[in-house]
Amino acid sequence: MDKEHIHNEGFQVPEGYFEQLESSVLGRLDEGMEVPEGYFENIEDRIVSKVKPQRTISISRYLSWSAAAVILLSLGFWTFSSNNQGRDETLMVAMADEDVYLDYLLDNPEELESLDLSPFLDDSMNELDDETMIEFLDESEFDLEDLESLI
Amino acid sequence: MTNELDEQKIVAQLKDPIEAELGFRSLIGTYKERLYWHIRRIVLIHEDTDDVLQDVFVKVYKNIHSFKEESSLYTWIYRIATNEALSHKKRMQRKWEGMSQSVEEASAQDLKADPYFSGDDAQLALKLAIDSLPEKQMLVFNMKYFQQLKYDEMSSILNTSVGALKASYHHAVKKIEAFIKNEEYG
Repeated sequence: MDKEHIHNEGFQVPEGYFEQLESSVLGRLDEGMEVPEGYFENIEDRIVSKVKPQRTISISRYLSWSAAAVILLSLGFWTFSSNNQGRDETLMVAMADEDVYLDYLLDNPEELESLDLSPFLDDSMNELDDETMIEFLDESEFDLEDLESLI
Repeated sequence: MTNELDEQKIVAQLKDPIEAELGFRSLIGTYKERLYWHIRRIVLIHEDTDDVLQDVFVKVYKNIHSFKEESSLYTWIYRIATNEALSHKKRMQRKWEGMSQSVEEASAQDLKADPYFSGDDAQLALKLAIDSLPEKQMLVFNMKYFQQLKYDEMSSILNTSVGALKASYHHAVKKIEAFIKNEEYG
């Protein structure tokens, strides 16, 4: 059946019928279920923001240097691992995952003392300003939520 | 059902670090309503549905590299959404059981208290009847009756044979009829 023929049948549909068809079939108003007005319009932004790295927070305000040291160490665990080949198996397994390793360090603070802090604790540490700190944390993709849970 | 070419484009974009956000937006735009209603019919409450829906999309985004493209994107996402919604439902049931509440009563109370449920008694009874079904029957009934999916689509999403799905649907309808009769006259 060609398009011309359909037109000649004299059938019509209400304006916007096909645009609304999908949501009415999906939504089935007769189920008694509704959604807040505009819910589907802004959902993309809300979900996309969940997977974007968070950037615009002044970290230093919340951060004590001791917490910073723990974080820097956890981020720099590759450096650490190459210097500590004789460590026991538990630690090596823990190091396989950055988060697990961070938890391990928090549970075993004594481990911190035996680590080589020199890569992080040189003179420049004293001059580390907010901007450098944010840049470092940004580059290392450290999750702010993890950061806050340490404080 | 989404066009296969559209799906391929979305997957390619999601796997490309530069285009990932664009692909993610297309993905959400394409599936948000269908997945929302699929999840809503399992967890019933709007707020819970919103949480699960967001988790599903984030999960798809983070795991897109493990999507082998052996099934369609649509099937894969529906599977993830189904699993997430069922897990949420089980968590809620465990919570109620922990509080020594009857799951049926707690579920009914929650649904009645949802500001986005405006159903009358018959609609409420139907939702509660569906909610009381065994998991697979509940899924099949929702997907067939409300979403009007074809049995072969359901078969690939739920990994169950068409024959078993038809039998589940049949049982579901019988149980719902009995449940509602019991509510009316019981």
